[in-house]
Parts: sequence; C-alpha cells; structure tokens
Amino acid sequence: MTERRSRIARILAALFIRGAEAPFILRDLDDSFDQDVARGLAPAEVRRRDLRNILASAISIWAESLRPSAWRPSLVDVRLGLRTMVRTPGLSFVAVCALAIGIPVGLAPMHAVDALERPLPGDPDGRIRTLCYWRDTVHEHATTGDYFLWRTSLRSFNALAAYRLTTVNLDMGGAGLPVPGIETTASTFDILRTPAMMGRVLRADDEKSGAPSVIIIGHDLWRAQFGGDPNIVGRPLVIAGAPFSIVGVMPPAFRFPTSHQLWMPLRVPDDGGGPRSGAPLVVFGRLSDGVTPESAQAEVQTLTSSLAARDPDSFDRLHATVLPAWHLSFGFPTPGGLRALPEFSLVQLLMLAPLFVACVNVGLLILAQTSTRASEFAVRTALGAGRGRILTQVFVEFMVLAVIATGAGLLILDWLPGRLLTALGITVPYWIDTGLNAATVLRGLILAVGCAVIAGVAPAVRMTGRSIDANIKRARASRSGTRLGGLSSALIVIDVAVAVVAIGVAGGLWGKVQATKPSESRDGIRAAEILSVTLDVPSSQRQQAARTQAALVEKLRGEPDVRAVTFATALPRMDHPIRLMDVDREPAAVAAPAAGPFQVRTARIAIDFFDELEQPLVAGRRFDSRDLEEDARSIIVNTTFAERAFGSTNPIGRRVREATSDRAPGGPWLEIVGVVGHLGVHALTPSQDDGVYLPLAEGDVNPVRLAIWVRGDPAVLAPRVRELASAVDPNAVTAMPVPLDEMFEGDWYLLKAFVLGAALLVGVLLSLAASALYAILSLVVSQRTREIGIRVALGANRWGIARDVATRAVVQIGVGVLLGLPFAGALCYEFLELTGSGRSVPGAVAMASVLGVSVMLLVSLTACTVPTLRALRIAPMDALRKEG
Amino acid sequence: MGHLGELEQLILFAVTALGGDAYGGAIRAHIEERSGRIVSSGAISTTLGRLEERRLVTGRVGTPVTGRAGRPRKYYALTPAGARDLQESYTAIRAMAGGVLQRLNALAEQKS
Repeated sequence: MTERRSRIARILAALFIRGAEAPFILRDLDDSFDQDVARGLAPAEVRRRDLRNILASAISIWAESLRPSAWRPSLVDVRLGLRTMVRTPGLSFVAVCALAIGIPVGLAPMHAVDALERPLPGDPDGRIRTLCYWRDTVHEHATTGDYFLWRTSLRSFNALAAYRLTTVNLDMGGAGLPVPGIETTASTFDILRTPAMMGRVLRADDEKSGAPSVIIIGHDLWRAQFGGDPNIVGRPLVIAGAPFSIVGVMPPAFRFPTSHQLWMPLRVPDDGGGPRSGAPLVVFGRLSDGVTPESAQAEVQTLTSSLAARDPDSFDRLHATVLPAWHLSFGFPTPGGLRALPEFSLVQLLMLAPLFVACVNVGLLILAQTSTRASEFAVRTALGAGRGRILTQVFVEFMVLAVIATGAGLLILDWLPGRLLTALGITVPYWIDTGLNAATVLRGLILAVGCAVIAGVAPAVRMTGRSIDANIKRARASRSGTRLGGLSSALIVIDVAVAVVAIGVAGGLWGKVQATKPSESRDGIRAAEILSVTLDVPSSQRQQAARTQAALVEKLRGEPDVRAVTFATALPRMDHPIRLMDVDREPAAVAAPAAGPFQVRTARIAIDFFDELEQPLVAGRRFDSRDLEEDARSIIVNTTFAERAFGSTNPIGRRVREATSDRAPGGPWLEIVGVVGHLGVHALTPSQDDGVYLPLAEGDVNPVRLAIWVRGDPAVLAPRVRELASAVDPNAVTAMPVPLDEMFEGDWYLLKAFVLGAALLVGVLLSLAASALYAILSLVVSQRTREIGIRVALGANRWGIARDVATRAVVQIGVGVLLGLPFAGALCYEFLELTGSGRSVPGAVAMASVLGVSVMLLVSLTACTVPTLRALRIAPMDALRKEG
Repeated sequence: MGHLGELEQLILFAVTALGGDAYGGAIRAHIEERSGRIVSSGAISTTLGRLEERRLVTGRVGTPVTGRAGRPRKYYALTPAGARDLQESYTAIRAMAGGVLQRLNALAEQKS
C-alpha cells in the first residue's frame, strides 16, 4: 500500500479520537482508509473520505460521552465511596473537617439574610407590609398625621396600625423596673391575628381619651414578675406612679415588634394634625384580598404625589414605600434590604473564598491520592469502563464525603448562631429563626456538588484524560502513580501564597485585637468602677429634663458609695458619633500636617466631666460656666486630633468648625480651649480616633448617659440609682445600667469571636495546605525514586541529589511567598483601614508573614526531606528492581 | 424485547453477515456496500459499545499486528439475545410494510 494518510488527518485523529475505545477506532479508521485505497478510489477522494470519517467519529464519541446512562451513578458507587473513605481515614477526616467549616461560612451570609428578611409569624404570604418614607436613601418614619391620612385614604389595606416604642418603669415593690413596650393601636392585634393567652387584647375603645388605662403584658413578664399568677387579669399595675389595669397576657411566642413585653393603647389626637405632622410612628398594615404589594405601592405613591403637589417643601425628595414587614425592626439602608446592597455580593464572595480554597486544597490531596489510583483507572478502562463511568464513580465517591461534610456544616449552622447570639447577649426580633430552612439546606447541597466537582472530579478528569494505552503505559512506567508535573508546581505555589495570605490576615486581626483591647493603662479610665446609666425623662419640656437630670446627679453625689457623678451624650470607650470638621487655616504661616476636613468623633459633656473622672488636661483649660452661655463657642480636643490637625504647633486658640466633605461650612467657628488625652471615642479603637468635646448643660439633651464612679462594685448601685430616679421624677426611666468596662465587652467580644472564627478557619486552611503540600511533594519525590536510584548507581553525590530535590521545593515556595506577601499586606491594610486605623499593623503583618513563611518552609522541607532520605537509603539495585 | 434503532439494526445485520470477521472497518464497509449508507467508524464503535452493554453482542480484542502502531482490532459476535431482538425488529418492520409497499412506491414516484 503506497497511499499515505494526510498529516492533517493524522493530527486530527490523534487529537480527537480519545477515550477507552480509541485504539480500536483508530484501527478501524486505518482499515477504512486501506479499504478505500484498495477499491481504487482517487487519492483525493480517499483523503476526503478519511477526513470526514475522522471528524464524524470524533463527534460520535463526544456525543456518546454526553449520553445520560454513561454518567448514571449507582449504589455501588456510594458503597465504593464509603469504602474509599474508610480506606483513607486521614484524608477523609481532613477533607470533611475542611469542608464542614468552609460550607457554613459560605452559607452564612444568605442564611443570615433569610433569617432576617422573612415574614412575621402567622403571615406566610408576606401580606403584612410597613409604610414609611424615604428621602433619597434615608429612611424616615411616618407621623401620626400620615397614619390618619393613610387610614382614611388607602384602599389597598384592609387594616392599618401604628405604634411607637417606649420604655416604662413598672413599680414593682417600690423599685422601678424598666420594661420595653409599645404604645399601639388596637388594630395591631387584628393585623397580627394573635389572640391573648389570657384576658383580651387591646380594643379600639381603649384608645379614646379618658378611657380606663389598660395594659397587656407579655408571657415572660407575667412569669418573671407576677409568678405566673392565673388571676392576673384585672390586677392593678403602677407605671411611673399612675395606675393601670392588666387586661391580658400574650402568648410566649408573641413579643411584637422585637422583644417587647408591654402593649399600651396609643392615644393621639383624632386627625393627627395633617400629613408629615405629629409624633413619629411606625405604621404597618395587612394588604386587602387581591391587592398586590406593587398595586399598594402605586396607590401610596399616587397619594404622596398629590400631597407633594400641594406642599412641595414638606415632600421634597420624599417618596412613600410599601415594604415587607421585616423592615419594621431593622433600619435597612435600602428598601430592598440587605441582599440589595452591592456590598452584600462582595461579602458573599469573600465568605465563599475559604470554601473554594478548602476545595482546592482537598483537590490537591485527592489529586495525590487519585494519582496513586492511575493503575486502577487504567485497568478499569481496559475492562470496558468509559471515561464518563469512571468520572461518575469518582464524583459519587466524593459526593459521599461532601454530603457528610455538608451535613456536619449544616448542623453547625443550625446550632451555632443561636448560641453565639445568646453568649453575646444580643436580642434578636422574636420572629427571627436562626435555625435551618429548606433554602439553606438546598444551597448546602449545591455547594456540596460544587465541592465534589472542584475537589473530586477535576483531578479525576486529569487522570482519565488519556487513552487506554497511554494510561496503561503510564501506570506501568510508575507504579506509584503518574507524574503531576507543572500542575503540582502551580498548585504548590498557589497553596503557599494562600497560606501566607491567610496567616498574614490572621496576624493582622490578632494585632487588631491586641491594639484595641481596652485597658486602664491605655486611657486612664477606671472603667470597672464606673457605672453607666441612661437617664430618659419622658417629657418634651427642656426645663423638666434639666430639673430631673440635675436633681438626680445631686442625689447620687450624696450617696456614700459614690465618688463622682457626671453626664454626657457618650461616655469614654463608647461609639461617639462622627462629624466632619474643618480647621481654620489662619494664621496662614502655620501649615497643618494634614488637610481637612477631618472625621472626628464628638461628644457633648458636662462642664465638670474631666474633673469628675479625674482626667487631667494636656493643655489649656477645662470647661466652665462661661462655656454654657448662648454665644460661647468653646471646645476641647483630644491629643490625636490636635497632632493630626496642628502638628507640633499649639492648638489652643485655634478654630475648627463643622464642614461638608467639600469643605463648605456646616456651622460656626469653635475655639479650642483645651487638649485632653485619649479617653476612647470608639468602641473598637479606644485610643486611636480624633475626638472633640463640646459643653453640655442639664436639659440640653435627653436622654443622657450618667457616669457614676463608685467605691466597690458598680453593679450593686444599679437598683439604688433606679430608686433615686423614681424619687426625683416618677416618669424618669433609667435604662442599661452597666459597668463601663462591661459595656464595651460586647463589641470587643464580638471582634474577638470574629477573630477566633477567622483563626480557626485559617488554622484549618493552613493545616490543609500543609497536608496537601506534604502529600504532593512526597508523591513527586517518591516518583523520582527510580531516577535517584540510577543517579546513585552512576556515582552521584547523595547530598547533591538531596539538594537538587529541596531546591525545587524551595523555588516553588519562594514564588508562592512572593506572590502571597503583597496580597497579605494589602488585605491586612484594607481590613484595618475599614475598621479604623491601627498602628501596630505593619509589625503584625510582618510577624505573621514571617510565621507563615516559616511554617510553610518547615512543612515543605519536611515533605521533601522524608521521602528523599528514604530514597537515598535505598540501594540502587533495589530501586531499579522496585520500579522496574 | 429491547427497541433497536435503525443504525443498531444495520450493524447487527452486518455483524451477522460477517460472522467471525466482524470488526469496525469491515462492518462499515459492509453497510456502505449493501445500503449505500456511510457511517463513521466512531458511530459504529459507540453503537457496538452500547449493544455490548445490553449484551446483544460480545466483543473480543484481536491480536495486535505489526504496523498500524500495533493497534488491535476488536471483533464482535451476535449473542442469542441480540439475534432475538434483531429478528423481532425485522419481523415488526415486515409486518408494518406488508400491503403498503405498492402504495409507498406509487407515492414516492409522484412529483412533489
């Protein structure tokens, strides 16, 4: 036979005729070509027919690989999966652990949003909707006037209700007990369709002025304060000195709107004073039958437009929205809720990153393990198993592992959030259920499939990509498996880079915790001895608030255990509100080290604030009565702000004022009269933010925070403070009595919990990366046993061989480190910028990076050394015999 | 009885006709010669693989020969189950065709 196949045909056949049957098909192609030649066809026709046969064959093979039955899993695959797990317990354990941590982390954002953004109990279809206004992107409450207008105008709702939050002092045996409750319309109970457990709910008559004062109490309050008295209905109750009658007890699951235990009738003027007037209220209602949220929204917007036409000033940039009921409890920044925020996708992506890394690392381990199964795959292929069949088996094997990990991860997700919230003392709205739901389970299973594909199937695709003869040859060539080559190098580099980034970030977080941990030595505040109490005087009269505040401070100063008392809008270590402030650039000769405007944290403080807390001023003077005069414009700044705005020049006498971001004035010039040290103006960065203090007189602000410096345990004084407040003003409410050091602990523990979680995750990822690195390097080195044996036989220096092996690993690790370090630094920097400045950060990053590099180097060298030494110990003849 | 597709029937007939010499290349040539249908070697191989899974044919790897990269042929033989299925398929076709061939021919000859 003289005719030869075209080069293109040969190349195409080699490229596209793949799989277990490839050798036979290639032979059939040869036979068909020979037959065409033998039939005496023209050479061009022979080549054309050959080419067509090759391409059509390739399409047939490809189409066959997509045939569903080729992928159909069976129970045998599941059994094989379980058997593989048992056979490789170490690998299975590491993989399950990694995925069981990665999966709940990846699921957490959507699970949290699902838990938050769900309909109220008894309203599965989400028919209960809240009505509110938005001015641009800022949420604005409705008012009594809006409520009355909507109630009479809107046809989309079959009932509307309104409430406002309140905290009242229950008179329990002479002491006032602050209890959160709401003043609400009777329609609330109709809309929520919740009857009273005992007695009755509120009625419309209760809202009328002059009607008897009635109150409904919650189940928890009934049990805790009334001992579960079965005859509670009708029992009198004194609230702030006024008699009320308990007319009902609500069931245990009812704590509307969040975690409230008291419901009183809302009494407001009949017309509310017209739209946008009156007191702020939360308004909600139940949609009429057949009305969709969209049509309700359209009706509300039409009404708002007509109101805006009549009163453009009040309705400037204002639009009314009909939103799901979960907006009742959360100040979501957009009507669409959390999942509509662009940042949410980023958070979701970041939270999925650890799972992806875990998958890649598990994939590395599987690749190392799978490559030892090359012979098994080759034999199975030779016995007739298609590539799809083998991939299906590997997929099912890994799915078994992934499903177990997902189950464990889902259990963690079901169990942990509730415990964490309880441990942190965070109260969530009563209708929130942090337990598992169907959507989360479904997402978990989708993640499991994703994990199985990334970590299980991808390595198997690589292992089964060759034809049967190639697999057999490779399996024969190296009994321990196939060579991983460039892929292993790339994966090791990525692994090292990820590990360095992970350790760097963990180190940065740890540095952050250390930097922010509050301590007396840092800010000079003896927080453990200071009781913080919120004093709220429910009166719109400034004089009344001033009288109560002054009288209570005076009475407290008379107490034997009290060393000092003062008040402010925010106490040291609490979050102080941020304002933008600009610095007066005159005299021009003095150049500021930084350009404004500055983000500063501000608090208004009593003029004796620093004296009472024994905080010396660094420069200038304290506030005095002159600073409370109408035209006084004095402020005291902290040293951080003074240094940043004025450098080494004297800040006393310099002026600052509120400003907009483009430096337009936002208020009058204020003169700096004093400089004080860092007292802490932010919970998480107590000594690192710019702070400005403004003077505060009694009655200027209501409520205020009292700081009561106590001899002994401050918590003991809390009931006495309540008594004194009730004595001064029966309506006064004292809330949240907490020692100053404990108040901060919630935030700090949250950060610490976050860091611990991150450290745990990083630890798992690191050990996973280390295991994968060890497994792959060991495999690569052990695959070179034959080569090493030959080189030793030829007289090569044994230590030279060891150096040769180690060099390759060191280069891979070095590249990984070089790739990882900038990312680690950038991530740390970004994170710390996000959470406030942190000066100990570069050091922490450097330390963490050194630690990361050291750990990875140690693991890598151990991974290389152990198999290399093992190979070096083998006599050349044994090595050749072993591999031959 | 398992349903047999048209290509499956053609291949099974070819395997039967070729007897002990039924390998991919020969089957392909036989089908082309008898029916004028050109079927790719890949399609024949994958179809035979499917018939083998259904135990309608059995496969046997032949002895590698020199040349052709030492690639062996794979020879197929009809199993009794395969013979039964093919027989039933053919009977069904014949039963369906009975009495309509004349009309079919007349229709086919009409100008469309």
